[in-house]
Amino acid sequence: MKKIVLLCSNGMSTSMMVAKMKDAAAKSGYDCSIAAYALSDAKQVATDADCILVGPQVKHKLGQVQQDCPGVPAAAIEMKDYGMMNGAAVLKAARKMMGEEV
Amino acid sequence: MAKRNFVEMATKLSDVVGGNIYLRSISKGVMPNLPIIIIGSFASLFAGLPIPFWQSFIQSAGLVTILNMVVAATTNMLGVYFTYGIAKAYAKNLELQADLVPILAIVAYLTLSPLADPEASSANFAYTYLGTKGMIVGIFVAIFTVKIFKAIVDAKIVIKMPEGTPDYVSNSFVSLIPGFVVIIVAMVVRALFGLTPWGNIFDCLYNLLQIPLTAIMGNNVIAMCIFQLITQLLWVFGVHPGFLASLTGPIMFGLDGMNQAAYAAGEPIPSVIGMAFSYAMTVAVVYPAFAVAVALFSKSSQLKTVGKISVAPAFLGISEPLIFGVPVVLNPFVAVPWIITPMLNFVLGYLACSSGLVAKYAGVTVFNFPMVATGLLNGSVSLAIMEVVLFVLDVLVYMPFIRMQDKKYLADEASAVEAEAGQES
Repeated sequence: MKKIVLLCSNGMSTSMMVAKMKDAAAKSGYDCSIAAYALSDAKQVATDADCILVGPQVKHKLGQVQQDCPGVPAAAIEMKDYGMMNGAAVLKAARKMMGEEV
Repeated sequence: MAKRNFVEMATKLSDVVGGNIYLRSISKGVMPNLPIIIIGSFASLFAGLPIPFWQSFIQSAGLVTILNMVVAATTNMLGVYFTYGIAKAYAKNLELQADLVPILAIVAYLTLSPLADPEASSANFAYTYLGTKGMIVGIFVAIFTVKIFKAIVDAKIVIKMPEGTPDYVSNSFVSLIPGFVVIIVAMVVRALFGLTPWGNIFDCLYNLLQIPLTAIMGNNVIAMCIFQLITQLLWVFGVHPGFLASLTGPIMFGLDGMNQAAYAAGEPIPSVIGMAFSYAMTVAVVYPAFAVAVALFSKSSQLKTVGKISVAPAFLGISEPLIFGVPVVLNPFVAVPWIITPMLNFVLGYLACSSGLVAKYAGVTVFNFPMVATGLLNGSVSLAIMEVVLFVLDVLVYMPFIRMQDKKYLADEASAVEAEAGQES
């Protein structure tokens, strides 16, 4: 099962995103674990993830995340998808990052 | 170009502040105390509620002492708890493994504390500096305790137990020498400050650092507006301003602690500004006003969608759907009210509270509580009314800008539909 980790400043607004992504995953029957955490916990929680997504408000911290979790594909969530809380679009982006055909 | 420079500057600043190990440890050490701060605020609120029948009830039922004991154990001890938290966070940041360190920091803190009765022959603690008034000393004590401890462990000046000694026995011996050194240093510092005109380190640092810092950063509406301006601007450029809050947070909590203590004791509240005031004037009122304006005044499908998903979280202090959905980021239409409204609220709120038109916030920290509740929980219906007035005002400030944005989206959506229709035919 793929592990998708979302990171933002406190893990608060990304947890809304997580709920929407879980909905989208359930709807399409895709089995995965999705969870949100604070950026500062990246080292503890995300080194074994299959894919890391950071909130657009902490996009500038992406370099730090990549350093903390070497080898894990990481990217910032599209601003508009984040604002509209478009779980399906973000899940799709995550699956593409993990090299899956969507 | 200007945009790029600002983002680079903001990123650098956030790296400097956010990456600074001391500031990071301080905010990481203070934040876990939030529930304690909130419990203490509620206890002060109930102890100080200026309603005659309530006061006579809690006096006759003996509840007032119980409530005040909770205030004494929470708010009035925050300096100790912050010291524990900061030492723990800093030790963790340095990857120093020692459960003793944060406890040792408290021992050092208490060793340095002034006497309640200097004439008495036995040792005794004064409560004065166990609360937020002792915060600055607490920060120094926590940091130096960790530093000294680590230096000694790194130099391997520790008692080695023979092989085969159980781990928990040998661990407690490993901590013994660094522990002794930390406390001996504290004793020396205590003796040295006894020679200064202040008599102890707490009075010295409180007067030299905490009072001026509080004056510059805390109880000063202009400084608050400047901080708020930077906060809002950072959002406009898509950068999370959390690192700024870690700078002002401890001072603001300090002001709240002072206000709570005064409120619980039935004394006049000393400071208009504090974390409670600041949260109410910005997040608690502005986010819902923004979301409601979007929900009310838009016809385009984009803004309608954003309005629908953003109202509920906005009342609970979450603005990301607005910031990225409307968006605020790099959008001059919406950046204007986004920047104006919190500053407007600060100035009007400050005037209303300081002139006595409404009560002062009692320092009850209510993060993620909805507006009106933030006012009521700070001890006064007048504050809740003020929040509603400011909310309406903010909605009106947002209205024309949201309408402009909406018109633009409507035009975009119409032309997109036309283009699609054109393709189909």
